[in-house]
Amino acid sequence: MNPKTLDALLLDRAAGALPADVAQLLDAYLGEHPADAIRGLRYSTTVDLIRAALPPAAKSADLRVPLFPAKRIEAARSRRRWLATLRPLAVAALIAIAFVLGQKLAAPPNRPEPITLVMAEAAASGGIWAYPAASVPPPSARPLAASSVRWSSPLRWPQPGGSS
Amino acid sequence: MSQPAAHLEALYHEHAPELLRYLARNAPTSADAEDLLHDTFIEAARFDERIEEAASPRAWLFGVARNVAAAFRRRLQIRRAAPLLGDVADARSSAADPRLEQLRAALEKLASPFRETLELRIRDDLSYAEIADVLGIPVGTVRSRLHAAIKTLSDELVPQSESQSSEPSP
Repeated sequence: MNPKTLDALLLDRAAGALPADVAQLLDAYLGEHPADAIRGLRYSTTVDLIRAALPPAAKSADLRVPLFPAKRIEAARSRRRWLATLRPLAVAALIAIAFVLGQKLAAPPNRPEPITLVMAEAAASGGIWAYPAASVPPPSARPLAASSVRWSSPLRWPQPGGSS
Repeated sequence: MSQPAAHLEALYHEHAPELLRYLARNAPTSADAEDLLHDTFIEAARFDERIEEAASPRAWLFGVARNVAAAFRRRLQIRRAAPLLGDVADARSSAADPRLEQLRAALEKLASPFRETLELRIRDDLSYAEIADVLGIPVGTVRSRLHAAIKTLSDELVPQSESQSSEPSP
């Protein structure tokens, strides 16, 4: 047998953790291998000595099992039930507080200032080199202002004039 | 009484004595051990569904007791120095077998995880699977720790020359 496997079996048997059928087979093997049997005996002796050195508890004579703490357990259970009931309420309250705080602390929306068109003096004066004056198309070629197009229905073409 | 409460009480009657012995090793007085036992079951009551699901309620309760005892030690700021020796002084057995003193010295030197595994197996008679549940480690680790502990202690007991002669031949 593999020495490591044998050693593990001997140690398991010494620790009392070997199944009965495997222990029987091991005993049969050790009957034919006295050197291994001595090693097994050494482990068993060691465990017996450990048992002697570690009795269940020297104070066990003083130990008396107290009564089942039914009241304390019931109190702990009811406290737990209370907490379970309160938990959703606490979460809801936190969400509400967060919402209110968010409303109060939120920064005002960053709106762009209205654009004001300022006509250049040159354009207003209508100087020959004034760009706006040069680029202003004649009244007939000007596109219609959006405010002067009427589109009353998607089934009809937009009609000029009037406000939409 | 509700069903979980009745189940817990049945478990209490079944396992309280051994849990109390286990906790007594972690408490300075028997009154503290009794308090820890109650704390263990109060803590267990918080997780009724886990008791129902546990493969071994006994191992699960030992695990809870272990955590409760650890919290207690932290509260008291006491370290578990030589716990196996504190309550094993038995002059008669030492006189009967001088190897016991040698073994106690070796136990004191054993690393805590190995000693705890050994204690749960030898003192509390937990199976490998139960120890694995209590300590939250694989069964293979329990087995290797236990083997290492027994071999170490065995080597301490056997004179060096004898130990070398009885080593398995590859």
